[in-house]
Amino acid sequence: MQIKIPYSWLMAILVALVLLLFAISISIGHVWLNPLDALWSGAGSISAADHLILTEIRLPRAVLGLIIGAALGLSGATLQGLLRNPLAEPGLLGISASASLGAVLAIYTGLSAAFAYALPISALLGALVAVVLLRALAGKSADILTIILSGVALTSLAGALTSLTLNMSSNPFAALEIVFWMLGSLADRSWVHVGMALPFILLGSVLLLATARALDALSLGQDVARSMGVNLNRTNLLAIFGTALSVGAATAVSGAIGFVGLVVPHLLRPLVGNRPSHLLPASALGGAAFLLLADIAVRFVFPDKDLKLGVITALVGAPFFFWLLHNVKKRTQL
Amino acid sequence: MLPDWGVANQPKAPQRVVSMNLCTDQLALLVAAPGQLISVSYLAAEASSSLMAKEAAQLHTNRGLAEQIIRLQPDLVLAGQYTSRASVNLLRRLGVNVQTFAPAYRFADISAHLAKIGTLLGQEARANALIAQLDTALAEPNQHTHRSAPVLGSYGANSYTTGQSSLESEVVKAAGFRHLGTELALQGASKLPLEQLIYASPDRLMTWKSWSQYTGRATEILLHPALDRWFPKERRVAVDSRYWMCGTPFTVEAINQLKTQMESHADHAD
Amino acid sequence: MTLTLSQLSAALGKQTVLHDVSIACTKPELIGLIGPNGAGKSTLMRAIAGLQPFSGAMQLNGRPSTAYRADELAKLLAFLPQERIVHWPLIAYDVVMLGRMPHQSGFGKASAHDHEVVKAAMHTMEVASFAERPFDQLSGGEQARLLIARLLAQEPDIIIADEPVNGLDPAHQIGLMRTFQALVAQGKTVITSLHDLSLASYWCDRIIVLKEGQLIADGSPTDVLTAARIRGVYGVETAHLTLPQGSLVVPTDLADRK
Repeated sequence: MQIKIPYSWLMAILVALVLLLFAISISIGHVWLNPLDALWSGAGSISAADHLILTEIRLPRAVLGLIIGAALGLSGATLQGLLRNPLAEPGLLGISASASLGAVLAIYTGLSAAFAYALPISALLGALVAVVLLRALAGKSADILTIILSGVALTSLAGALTSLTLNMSSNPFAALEIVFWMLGSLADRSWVHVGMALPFILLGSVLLLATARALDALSLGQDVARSMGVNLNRTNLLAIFGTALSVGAATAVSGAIGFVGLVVPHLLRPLVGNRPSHLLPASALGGAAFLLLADIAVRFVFPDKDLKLGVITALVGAPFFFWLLHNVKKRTQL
Repeated sequence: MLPDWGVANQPKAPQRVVSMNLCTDQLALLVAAPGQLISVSYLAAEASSSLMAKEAAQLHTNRGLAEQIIRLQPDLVLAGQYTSRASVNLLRRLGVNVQTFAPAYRFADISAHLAKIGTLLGQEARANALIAQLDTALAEPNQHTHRSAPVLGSYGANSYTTGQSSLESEVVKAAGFRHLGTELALQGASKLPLEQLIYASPDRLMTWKSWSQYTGRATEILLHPALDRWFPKERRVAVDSRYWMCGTPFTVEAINQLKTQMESHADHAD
Repeated sequence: MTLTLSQLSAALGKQTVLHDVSIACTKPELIGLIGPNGAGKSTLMRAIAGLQPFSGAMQLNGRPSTAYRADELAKLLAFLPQERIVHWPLIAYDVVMLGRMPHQSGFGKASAHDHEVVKAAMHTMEVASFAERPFDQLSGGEQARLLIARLLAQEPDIIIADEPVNGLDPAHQIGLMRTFQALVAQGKTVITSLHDLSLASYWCDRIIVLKEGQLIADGSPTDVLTAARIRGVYGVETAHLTLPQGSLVVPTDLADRK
């Protein structure tokens, strides 16, 4: 499956798609608002309520959709390149669930109330534990299914511990939150959350993008990559910390959103000639587009139901996963 | 005047009454004779949720699990209609007399619940006295709400507000205001996204005092900058949720407190 | 370009698979590394390529190999493993271009020179005709040649190739040996493991024999590939032909069946 399209065109199309979806995301909600009205004729031309809703509710929501989607897409593509496994993805590997656990611990120990950045930091530590564990496992056995099953176990364990933490809380609403932490949502987030997540996601993305060339070399196996001067330790560290930073911070504000890192790289891989280095930036844009689209869908399909984002991404992602699993099994049996 | 205690000693009256629900806890504490009620839910003993925590703390407290209840050998169990459903069903299968109470949706439900508990406990006289007091308090003027009256809306954890045909709407209207959930024709507890709340723009936003002590995702919405901007201090009313959670004689206090708070706010505005 | 190994030993897990191997390469040569399965050929080549920890000393141009940074080493020395792995169905041209990585700066923008080198390498290995095809749509022999083109594109001074002729048809096997000879003529050193004694005897300048992790012979094909030694190492009988261009050793039967 190869489709010929110049890389620069692909990136331009993806940027345009992200911008379009970003604009729609700002416009859609309880009432359709045209953000251009506000831009064109100044804040005075729209009502104060519209202005407040655009700037303080919809804009941060769209920005979060963009950066969190990009973080998930980029880390999915990096993990796949690093583990040379098309099934690797922060959600499936338990990294998102572990980040959720970290976030919940920060909130319900009161740490995040004392120090706001404790929330993303604790979440990224949760993610870090998961990636390190996984990398250690993958180092011993490169078997794809072993890694996936470890991810399943890790997800269940982190989910159970999250639930336990919420149950232990004196907050009567805590127990109901498990849905948010397991399926994710961007509803009614604010600039506070953007400020909390953005620095970590930016730093994480820089680290992840720095692995690009090494991932290309790794397509030929570890020995060849090393013989071509690739420093595998450095690559591993970049990928581990990059994933922990970006997925940790993203999960801290949005909850765990699965399958973005699986679906997006898979869809884009044939469009970039399967080159991991080209896949990384494309997956960041694709992830942003995918999550913005999912967030538009939750508001468009069931506007009053507060549908969780993870529901949409799983509905799209799970069939992909089964199909990929089937293909991978066929390939490994040969 | 309190009724004669002798009534409780009639052979029919249950002597080991257990309540499993915060609302029936408080009603039973008001109606039962000393010693008649042997256990209430643990929430009844917590000052953050109960208005009778002191009284409840004297009794055994339960967590609504069938095993725990059955060991108390109750001859009557009072439970909420929607709480601990599995436990209630199990208790009934084990032959325990369980009486369930729907949440109070109207003032009339409070009287009905008091009367029902009075009959079940053989304390009709005490129940009737409480009902009479309640009727007097609620019969006071100001029962009609102006069309121009300010709109008051509640907003709580996870962006929930309360719809029409609820005790909250009754209380708000009794205090002389229009009720947001009723104006929007919402049903029951309803999720109201922040931007919808801003569009609806009630004159006053009512939040629950006790919830501000909790940190967490669910209550984070109450700290949203847009909420602060649209509903600055002078448009907020923070009320004590203990008076609003259950339909009890204390509901009268909810009305009075709301009136007082709104008046003092109005004074500030002048 | 000089490469010297002194008393090089290496272990896989707890088992020592190379014992005190010393080799000196002081002039451009095509060196055939032979020996039965498990003799330590792959381990020796991985050690030379810097992929296998070892004890003893290895010097490149008189400087300890450990003193080179990985990217410096990659410009001097290229490695072709036995397994022909490409994890993603990369485009053939992109696979060969990966060989230019050690010569490119951080972002890996290919220069006009890089493209020239890649095209030349693809031409040499006769893979230019399917430059735009994805790797998984190539035959086994085509994949093997493509990966050798990647090796050539790295333009190293020393080439380490582990059984590169596996899966190639006779014409391409001979073509590869000729390519190696041409590289030697350009001043490069090629070390390649081979199972085919005819190819080794006919094309190599020098033969190194390993058995059970020990170097048991090192010299010209005629000196090393004697019938007695081959019988001792492989347990096979051989026929020896002398041709104008060199000698040819052909295995005939198992030694004990005679």
